[in-house]
Amino acid sequence: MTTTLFNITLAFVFSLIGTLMFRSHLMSTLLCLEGMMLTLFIMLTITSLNIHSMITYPIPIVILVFAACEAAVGLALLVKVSSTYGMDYVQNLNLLQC
Amino acid sequence: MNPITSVIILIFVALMLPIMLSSTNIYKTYSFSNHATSMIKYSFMLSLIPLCTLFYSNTELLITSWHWVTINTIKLSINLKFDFFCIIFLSVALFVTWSIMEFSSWYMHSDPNLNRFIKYLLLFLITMIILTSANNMFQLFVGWEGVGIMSFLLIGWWYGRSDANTAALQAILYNRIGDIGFIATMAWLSLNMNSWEFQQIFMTNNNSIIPLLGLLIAAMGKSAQFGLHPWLPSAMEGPTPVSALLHSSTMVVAGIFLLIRFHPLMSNNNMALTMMLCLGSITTLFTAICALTQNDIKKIVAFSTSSQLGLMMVTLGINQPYLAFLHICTHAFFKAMLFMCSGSIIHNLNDEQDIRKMGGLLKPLPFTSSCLIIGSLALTGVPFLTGFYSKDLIIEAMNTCYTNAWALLVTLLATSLTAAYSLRIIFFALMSKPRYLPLITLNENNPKLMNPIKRLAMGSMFAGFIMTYNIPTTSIQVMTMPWYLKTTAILVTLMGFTIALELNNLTYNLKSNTSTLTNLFSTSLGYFTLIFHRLLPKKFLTMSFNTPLNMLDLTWLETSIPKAISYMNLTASQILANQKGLIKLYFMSFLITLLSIPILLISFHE
Amino acid sequence: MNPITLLIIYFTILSGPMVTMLSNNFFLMWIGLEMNLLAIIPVMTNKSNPRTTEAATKYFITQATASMIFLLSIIMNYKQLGTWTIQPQTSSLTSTLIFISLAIKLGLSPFHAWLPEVTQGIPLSTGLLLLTWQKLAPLSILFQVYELINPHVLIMSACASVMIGAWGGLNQTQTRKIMAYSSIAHMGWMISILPYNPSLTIINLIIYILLTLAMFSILHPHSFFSIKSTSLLWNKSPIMLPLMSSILLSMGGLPPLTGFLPKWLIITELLKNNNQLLASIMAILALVNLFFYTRLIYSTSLTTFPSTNNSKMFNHQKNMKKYPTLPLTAITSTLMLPLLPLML
Repeated sequence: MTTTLFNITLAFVFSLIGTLMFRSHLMSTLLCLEGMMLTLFIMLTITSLNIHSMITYPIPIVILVFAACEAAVGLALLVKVSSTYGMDYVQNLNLLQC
Repeated sequence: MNPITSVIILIFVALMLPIMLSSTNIYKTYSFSNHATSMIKYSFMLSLIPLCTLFYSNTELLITSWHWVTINTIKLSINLKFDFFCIIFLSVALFVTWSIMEFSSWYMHSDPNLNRFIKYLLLFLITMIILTSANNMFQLFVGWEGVGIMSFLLIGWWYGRSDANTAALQAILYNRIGDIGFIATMAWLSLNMNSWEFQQIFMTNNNSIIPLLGLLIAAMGKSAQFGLHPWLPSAMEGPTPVSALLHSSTMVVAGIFLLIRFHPLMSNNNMALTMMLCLGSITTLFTAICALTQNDIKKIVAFSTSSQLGLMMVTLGINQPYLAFLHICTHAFFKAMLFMCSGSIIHNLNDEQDIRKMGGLLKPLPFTSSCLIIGSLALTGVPFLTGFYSKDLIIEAMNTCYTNAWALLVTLLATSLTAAYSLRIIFFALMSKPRYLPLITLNENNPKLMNPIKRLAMGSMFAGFIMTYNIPTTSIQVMTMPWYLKTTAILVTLMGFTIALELNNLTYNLKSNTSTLTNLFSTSLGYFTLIFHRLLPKKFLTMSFNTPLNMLDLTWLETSIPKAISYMNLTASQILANQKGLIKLYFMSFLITLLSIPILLISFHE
Repeated sequence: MNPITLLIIYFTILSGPMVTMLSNNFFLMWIGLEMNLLAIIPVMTNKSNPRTTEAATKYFITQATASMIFLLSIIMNYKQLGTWTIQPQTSSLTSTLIFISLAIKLGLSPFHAWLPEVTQGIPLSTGLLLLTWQKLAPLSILFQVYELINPHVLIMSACASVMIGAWGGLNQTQTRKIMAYSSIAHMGWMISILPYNPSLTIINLIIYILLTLAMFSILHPHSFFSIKSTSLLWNKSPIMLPLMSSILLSMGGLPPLTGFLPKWLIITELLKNNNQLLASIMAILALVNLFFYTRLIYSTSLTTFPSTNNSKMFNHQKNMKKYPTLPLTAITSTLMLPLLPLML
């Protein structure tokens, strides 16, 4: 494993752990998700450059598109949560407990 | 073809006739009891014919008729055996029952169901005759159970009294224990001997102890030997004629009779003989001790029966079945008479049974008193009365045979105690001053009372002599012995009389305030009923109540399975569904799983 | 919402799993999953209230994380093998990551926690969508890769799901949560047979979808949200009583009904493969499931709603919403057992 790849994988893992252990704000979760998406984008780009596969070159762009869409939906939800609760604390999301 | 067969049939017909009549109108009339009594009288007369032929030409008879059923290899047929035992017993039983029947029509005359009572007594006798005349186990069993059920019905005759019911139940339950032994023996015999006929059983020399033990238990139950004895004193709750019949010639001697029938098997087995000896000696001593302090006149007589039964068992234990049989026959006369005399006293004193409230009856009831004294003397074995001929022989035989000294001593002690409690009845009931209520008119002039007692008094005086004079020689007797062995029985009895007289005289002078331990032991019947009817059942009941309830019902059937499952499901559901709605916590659990799955993979990776 | 927008959104929801199911390329599968995820969020938040918002947020975060993990694993696979398909040479780490992401998406046991809450927060119609249509895409991917996944992992997850489905539902009073836990249990049954006989998974999935459809077709028109309110069914439409009882019994897996079929086949198959322990655990826990289904039956048909008005509500009966799927699904979800030989 090259250092770059290791680095990127580590970035992904940290973002994932960040998502899974996230703190008070919903915003930080969305950022972590975005971070994961970007690491995957970079990973795929490097991979496709490494193996010189022309057919793979557009795929990072597709990923980026979906990342943008996801970010948009996430931000929409963020807006909705903050307009409902007045802030984006995750602890507030406890209406549905058993 | 000899005349005996037809006589036997006639006897059976005569006995069955009153029972057949119970569907007719005669059954409802007052004279039914007289008819029944006459029928028994005729039967007795008829039974003298085989008795005479037995005495003079030693005739024995075996009737086999009507093959009934064959189960695999066991053949069941109706077999009647009229041998030495049966013929003598038949006459004795009929004679005694004749008197008892007449007596009961006097004693029970105010009872609305007198006729039924008479019928029951008759059935009781018939079942006993079936028992004695049986030649196979099956018929014997029919008679055995018949005697048991009739005793149940008769003891519980006054069913309105709870004591009578308890006594009847006690009798049938103790007899059930004995029946277990009997049935076990029957099962063993059918398995191993393939036959229930006596002759075929005795032909094979089998030394197994199992059937003998079964027979011993059966005899213990029926003859009220130690361990299964408490029903006999309780059976005094029945009417006095029932007690007389029960104790003289039917029920209680059935067990001894069974062992006499089986003595060819028993005599070869030392183990069984020793057990019988020890059992008999314990019984005779224990019941004699119990009789010493009883105050109920019937109970004293009842305990004396028990003691005599123990003596019979001892006789069987020293391998003298003919002597035991002789004692059964002589005992029947004076025991029936003792009961009748006490019945007469009780009836005359307005149903007063306590000897402390009698006293001085010698003058107002001279006939009853004299017969009571004759009976008591015969019981103690005073020479040349009936009891002497069997009892003295038994003691002699014991003294001269190789028996263990312990059993001998115990039996001798019991013999002297016999004298003591017999004297006690005479002393308290007949002698000194009256202690009964003054406004009682004593009357013993009814012929229905006097005749039976008179006949039995004759029997008590002469029957022993007649029998020993006439019966063929059955066992070799010891003709020479030292004088002290010869006179042991008399000496011991005299000693009992003297000591008892002295002790009874003491009661005029002083009375101890507190009862001594020995006195308590005797009055509470050796704590036997207390332990076996109260303590043990209560312990078993609480134990078996606790065991199934706590262990089975509450613990095993309720807590361990249903409650545990319910609790487990409830807890699991509470834990699993306890979500706080916090996404942070879920993601934490996701993370833990994510980290643990690679570990799992590595560990499963070969 | 604008009808055209709604049409587009529903079309996307429909087409996402289609793309996933039809494609051979894992990247395309991921695209199908993403389309589905992005499109269902507006449907969930269609009625704007705090509960739908919360449910949509939770759903979005979990599903997006699952998508990331899925994408990571297929990119790792691409880097190793140079293809967008799963090959036998795929490393076990990749396949396990795929399973984990799909488990999150399906709501399998260690990742089940979001499912009851999201189901509770959204309307019944969307809940039906969540419990049936959303399961198709992940299961179709699992169906393609099951050979590469460590069977121990699958079976442990299945066993845990059955336990959660049984015991989690035992303590619930809300019908949507009960349905969610029931879904978890059924997923467990499906996953348990996946390593041995995946076609049984498909049969189970079909019957599960039919049962859920039938159940929601009764729950939805009457707006039954809790066990207590189901006792109104007697007043509203009495004919539904036996129907609901038989559907619930079928869901519990009682013999003459359709629901018995998958349970029977799965237990037989597990026993054939010498997995008696799992079979007995699942069979016993199915009883717990049956227990809370019968509790629903009890409150539906054996109790009456505590109301002062004892008359039947004819208005309700006249103005009842028609649910065209009910007859078909009710019949197929209860009476299909004789068709068993055709389905094997």
